[in-house]
Amino acid sequence: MPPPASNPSTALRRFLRNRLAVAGLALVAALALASLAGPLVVWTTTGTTYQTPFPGAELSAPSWSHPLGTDRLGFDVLTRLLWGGMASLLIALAATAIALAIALVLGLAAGYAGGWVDAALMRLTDTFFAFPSILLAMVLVAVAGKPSVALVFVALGATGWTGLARLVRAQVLTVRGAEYVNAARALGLSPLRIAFRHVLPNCLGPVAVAATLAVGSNLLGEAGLSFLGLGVRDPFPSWGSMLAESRSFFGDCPWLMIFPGLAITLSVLGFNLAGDGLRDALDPKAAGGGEE
Amino acid sequence: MTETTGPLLTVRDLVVEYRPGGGLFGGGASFRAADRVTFAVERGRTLGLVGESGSGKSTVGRAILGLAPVEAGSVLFDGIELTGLIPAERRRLATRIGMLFQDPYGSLNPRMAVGEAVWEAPVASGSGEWPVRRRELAEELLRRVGLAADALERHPHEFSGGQRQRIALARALAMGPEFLVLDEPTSALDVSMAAQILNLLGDLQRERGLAYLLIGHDLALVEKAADRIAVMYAGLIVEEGEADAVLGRPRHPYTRLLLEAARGGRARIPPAEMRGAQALAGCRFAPRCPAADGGCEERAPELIETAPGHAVRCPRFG
Repeated sequence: MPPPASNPSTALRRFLRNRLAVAGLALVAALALASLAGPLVVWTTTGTTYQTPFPGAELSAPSWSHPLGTDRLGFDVLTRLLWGGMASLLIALAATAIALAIALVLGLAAGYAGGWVDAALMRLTDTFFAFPSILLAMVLVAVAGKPSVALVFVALGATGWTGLARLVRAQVLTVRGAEYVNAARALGLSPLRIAFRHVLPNCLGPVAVAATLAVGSNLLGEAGLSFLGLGVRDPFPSWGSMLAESRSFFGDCPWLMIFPGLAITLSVLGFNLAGDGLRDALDPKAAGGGEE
Repeated sequence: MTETTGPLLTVRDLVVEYRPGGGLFGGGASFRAADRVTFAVERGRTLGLVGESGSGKSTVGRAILGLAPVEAGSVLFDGIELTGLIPAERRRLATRIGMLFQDPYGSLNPRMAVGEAVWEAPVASGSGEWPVRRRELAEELLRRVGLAADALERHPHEFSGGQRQRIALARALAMGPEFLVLDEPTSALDVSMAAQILNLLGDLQRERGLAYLLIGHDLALVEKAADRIAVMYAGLIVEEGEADAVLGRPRHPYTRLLLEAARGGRARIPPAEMRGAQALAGCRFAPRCPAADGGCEERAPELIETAPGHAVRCPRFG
């Protein structure tokens, strides 16, 4: 059976009726706005960047001049949080884009070609599935000699595609048997055209959902790698590295830990809620479809 | 090589087998969906292929398009052998052979606008003026099958079943075929819509000299459109002849039952497991046949010509 031919406008209406989904979307939008425009706004209005020190104000508690306090070197935590958000979000998006690109190519090839191509690609997927991203990041750092932003998203992308690839393959297997694919074959269309114009577009609904959820887990992954010092490095902030720094002071200066932690939690929550809402909107038959 | 005389399509001893599983761990007995099927379709004429679901009639249609695994036999289209064609050669023939599918909800890509669905194949294959005049030509075709010109930009979900079948027909016609396989084109539609589609198909046949293989389970619908009729049961053709002869003097008990059902009599065809029938040593219809005697289960009947151009597969004519 082909997937339900979801009408884009009904799907949108269904999404907007789902309060949790809208809340998730709002969180994601707020995150995107704050971390992409925030640093610029702060810099143009106050001249403060992630490494503008406020001498004498080291480790000060939240106040009017520093709403989220300052850290060990007298940097403003709010400013660093906004810059860190930019790093975290861009890394998570880049990692997801890499994972999605790999997953689409391999999943489409495996599902569409079938046979030994399928078997070989799925064993490759299993192999990568068993490979922890942290281990890969450490290997990459060891090979490159020093940690860098690029290594983080390459490591996350290179290990995060397996689930997506399996999903794409499963979707392709379903759609490949659809009558409109037979119709396309009967019309003498080339296999490549059938794969990209007829099979792929009809596979994308669930894949978009999984990709949204993957952004959330890549945010978490970036935080983990940066926390371990494998990712974004001083002086540039990321939420993970800010958390890592806060460990030494968390008894006396809890704001150093609370705000980055809150930022990570809220963004991951936002992507998860939006992803769940998207899934329910695209497939009203799924469990928890709600008010339909 | 083009023959100007003789049938447009000749199917001879066609065998289609499906193997369960497949792949590394596949196995098990294969299922013979069509067994030594033989018939011919003349230029500009219609052959009706009739049978219950599971009789193998749709399988035969799909095999002609290369959508079902041909095990043996020959499909000759205008002198060209279609079985064993390499994919590129098969694709080139799509300009001459088309198909209209049973389910108008499943046979149109839900993500593709109607206009593109119509012009995609002829533009991709560079047929005629399509690459340069795709919009006008698609609009013209859509109007010919009874749709408004604004259909071009819309998507399949905005149309009813009958309208979708018209879109699918326009898509098939865009390649300028000489022959169309019509796989139960009206069974998903209500009666009046079905009649409209059949009328449209008849008009198009006269206009363009199309030949049809009209597949259907309802003899009442097929008899209106077909010049010749072949009746299939459990993968075998059990009766074949001119429509008048088959409908007027049906020889096979199964054909008579189908005819009675089509004439508004209660369908008195006893239900049976069609799959088991393939394994029978004798006549495959014997377990359900009202006229069967003891001998029917012992010898497998051949297709025997009982009158010129009228053949029957029944032990009582052996």
